[in-house]
Order: sequence, then structure tokens, then C-alpha cells
Amino acid sequence: MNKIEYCNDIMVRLEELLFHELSGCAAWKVELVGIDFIQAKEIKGSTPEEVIQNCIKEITASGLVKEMTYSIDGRDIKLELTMKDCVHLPKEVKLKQDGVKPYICPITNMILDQLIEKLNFETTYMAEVNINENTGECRVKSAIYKDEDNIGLVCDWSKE
Amino acid sequence: MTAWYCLGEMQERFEKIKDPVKKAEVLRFMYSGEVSEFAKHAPLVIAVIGTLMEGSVDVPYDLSAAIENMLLEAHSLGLGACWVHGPVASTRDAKKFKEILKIPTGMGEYKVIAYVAIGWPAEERKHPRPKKPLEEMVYWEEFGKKERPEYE
Repeated sequence: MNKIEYCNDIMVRLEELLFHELSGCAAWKVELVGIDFIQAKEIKGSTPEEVIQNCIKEITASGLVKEMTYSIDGRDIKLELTMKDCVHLPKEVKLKQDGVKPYICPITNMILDQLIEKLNFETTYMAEVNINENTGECRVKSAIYKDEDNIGLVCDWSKE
Repeated sequence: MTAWYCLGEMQERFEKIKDPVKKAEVLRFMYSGEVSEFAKHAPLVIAVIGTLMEGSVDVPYDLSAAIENMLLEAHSLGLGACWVHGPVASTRDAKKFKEILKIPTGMGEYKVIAYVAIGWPAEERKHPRPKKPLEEMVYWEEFGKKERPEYE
């Protein structure tokens, strides 16, 4: 039995149900999905870059994602993650086929969680998941707010 | 009878703003938390929570109906009231909110769905809120059928 496939199929059903119940608000409820893995790894770092890089090392070493890069732009509030061959990609593809825009990325949740837990970021949220089933690549945009002064900063994500 | 649908209408209105400075101001307001700050000045704020432990079914719907009743009652008394969901919408924020009020934070214990700020309205509403024509929303006998059947 392919355990990942089995797990992804269960997640698809749960995500569809949750979306059906809560519509767009479902995305606001799932920020803790996936964080147990990374919390068990005792990630270290004193800057966002260090924390993110150390998360990526653990995520790729475990085989959850094959290749992963990141960038922080847009007045330091936009985090963009690029992932290739994530174990959850089939889940996102299935959701997309079923007409539900993917809204849970456990890998992104791990990194956002560590920014909050290790660096005391005030708040974060995942804003956009774009998958390319042909190339096996995901691009995920998130907003990351270091402190209260950052909250309310806005940037044009298509340009900055 | 309509229930106010927040995000869709807001998005539509936001897209109509052309002035980039005004647009930036509105964005900052929306994302700074100020959009919910009026509740800080309300004489009464009711945290609406429901138990998930005592044979509860459909808790979010029960709580939502209770909130609507609160709003109607407040309005009937000449008060102003607002259903505030944003600050407790995310899982982390809901937990923080529960901790402030010492509400048990277990996911199987209590659900906090929103809070309701009640006070005296600062102003009369100037414009009626936009509504879709009834013909666009009402179907007869089957989904999509707009013609009202003739009954004998």
C-alpha cells in the first residue's frame, strides 16, 4: 500500500468537507496542519533566513519535498516558497480537479509556525497556492508580519 | 430579508477605488486590525462561545442564529451592534482570545465564533446597502428556473 497516497486521499476528502462547511474561511482554520513534524525537529535560528533555511534542510532531508527555495520581498512581508515534487502535490491536483482551490499547504504551515515560535512573529498567513501539475512545482505566497508595526503594511505582490 | 455578506461586497467596492493613495489607505486600514478597533470603544462586548462537549450539534449555526437575535434586539432598542468575526477567525487568534478570557482552549471544549460589540450608533446609515434584485436570487421549483409557475 502507498501510505502517502492513502494519506493524501484522506486529506482531500477532509479539505473538501471543510471548504464546503466554511467556504473561504476554511483557509483561516488550518494553519496548524502539518506543524507537528517541524516542531519535533528543534529548528534553530535568529533571523527569518536562518530559520527558513533550517526548516528547508529538514523538509528536503526527510523527502517531503525534493527541491525547495524561498524569497522574502515586498517590504519584508511577502514570503514566497517554491517547491518541487512535494509529497502532497497529488492532493492539490485532486482538489483542483474537484473544483476546490487548494488552501492547506502543510509545508508552508511548518515554516510559518517556526517564524512565530522561534522568532515571535506577530502573525502570518498563507495567501495563495499555485500548483503546476505538469512541472510538479508549487509556488506559495504568504504574508509574514514580524511585529505590530508591520501589520497594516501592504505591497503590490505582483511587483515587489 | 438579507444577511450582510462581508467580503464579496467589500472586494467589489474596493476594486472601484481608482486613486492609488486612497486605495493604499483602505488596504492599510483593512489589514492593520483597525477595522475591528471600534469594539475597543463599545460599552459592551459579548464573546459568543458554545460548548462542544454536551451533545452539541451544529454549534456554529446555533451561535450564528443567537448573534443575529442579539443584533435584532439591539437594533429594536435603538442601539447599534456589530458582529465581529475577524479577530477570532484564525485558529491561533481564537486560542489567544480564549486565553485572555480564561476559556478552556482544547479543540474539543468550546468554540468561540465571534464577539458582538454593542453601543450607541454614531450615525445614521446614509445609503441603503446594495441588494441584488430578488429575481436574481429566487428560483422556482428547481435551481435556475426564474419563471414563476402559474398555479390553478
